[in-house]
Amino acid sequence: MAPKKHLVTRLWIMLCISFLSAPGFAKDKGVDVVVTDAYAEMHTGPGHSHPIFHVVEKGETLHISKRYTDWYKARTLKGKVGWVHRDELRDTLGLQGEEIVFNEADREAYRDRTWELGVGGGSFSGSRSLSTYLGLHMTRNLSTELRYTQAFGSFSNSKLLALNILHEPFPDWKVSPFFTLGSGVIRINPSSDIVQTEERDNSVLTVGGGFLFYVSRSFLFRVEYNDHTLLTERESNEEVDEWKAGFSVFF
Amino acid sequence: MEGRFQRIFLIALTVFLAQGALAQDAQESDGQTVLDAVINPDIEPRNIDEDLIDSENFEAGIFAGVMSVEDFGSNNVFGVRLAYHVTEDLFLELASGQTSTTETSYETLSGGSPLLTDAQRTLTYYNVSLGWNLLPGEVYLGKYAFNTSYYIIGGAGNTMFADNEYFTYNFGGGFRMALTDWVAFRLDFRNHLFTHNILGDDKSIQNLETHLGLSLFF
Repeated sequence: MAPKKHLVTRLWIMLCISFLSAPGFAKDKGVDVVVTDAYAEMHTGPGHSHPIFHVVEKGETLHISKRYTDWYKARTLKGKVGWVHRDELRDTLGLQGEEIVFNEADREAYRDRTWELGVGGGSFSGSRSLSTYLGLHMTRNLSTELRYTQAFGSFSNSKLLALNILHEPFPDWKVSPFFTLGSGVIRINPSSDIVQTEERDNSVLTVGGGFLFYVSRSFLFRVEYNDHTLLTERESNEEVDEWKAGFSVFF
Repeated sequence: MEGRFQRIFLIALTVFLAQGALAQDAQESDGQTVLDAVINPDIEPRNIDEDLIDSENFEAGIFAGVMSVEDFGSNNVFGVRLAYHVTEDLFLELASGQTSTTETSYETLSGGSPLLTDAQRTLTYYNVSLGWNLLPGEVYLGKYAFNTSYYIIGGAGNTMFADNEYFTYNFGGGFRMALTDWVAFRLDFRNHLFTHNILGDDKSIQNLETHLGLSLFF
């Protein structure tokens, strides 16, 4: 039993060491910048409410290593470490005088977004529904998204997993319309306390459309209508109306 | 240090101007103005790749605690979560937890047949919530300062219990303490609300949960 215990202890120690050294690898990451604003305020933490404990003067060099939302963790040459807001670094330059552009979540970033993650709720054929999706933008007009929807009805619950393609003909418009085409599978689960019926799986074809509104920063608001056609083995296919609204973030 | 940078800058500027002056002779014949040759910078503006800066907006964690499911006892709960910090104030969180409920007091007292099978007694939930960091601050332990925040959180999701699924709202609050930039400790209080009819009639129940968790930021 004893050697096995040693092995476990050794494994634990190895695990702990690898865990502790993990951030060590990231240490050489980062960029050096020169502050060109009159000054930059350094906070003790990544938030406006954290106190300012140091002011970086114009011309000083900062090493930026980390980012948390709009805040950058910076170290001065004298070894002061704190968090600086992106707005204060807007006009910084690199050591060779090159321009540095910090990605900011704004309208321009919204236009060039790659990933989109959203949640929403609404009505799925009259019952409450929740949905979440992950979208990938291939061009400014075309994107694809993987969407999971769950609906809670009085007689049955449904789960829908679908892959959609979105076309945004006018991505520059303030309220931008889009059209969806998709396909997926739906599982309908009758409530166990009503009748003992089988759950059923169906393929689904989806046509829909809606509007995207850019709110601010990395937020967008989205309203959508979908018409799902359930391909059943019975004589007629079923149609399901779905309305939903939700918000998304992009990154 | 600052003096050295000024010197380097001045040397760079001198070399730069000298080059401009040399180029001037060559370019004047091309019909370009003297001014253009002096002002046009040699150095191309270069955008620095921001991928060099580690962004820590995602949070992944595990938690363990106690969840009281109305009528079905207070039991251990375990779960995982993934969060995305949108701004310093707002975050989006996906969480999932599981608890094994025990017999209702009726089942225990009457000694009758159990209402649910063991498999049906397992309650699993997942939810999507929006959190708001309400009171950011710091705590001091000895000479160390740790960033903290109190937050409120609320959302909706799904509860799987007794062979059925229920639309569930959740709301609550919590406390987050960052031990380093990439590890945080969390304490959460949540209420999960849903309506079931396991005991005959529709019944809206409140299920309180409290848990401790550890999160990694990446």
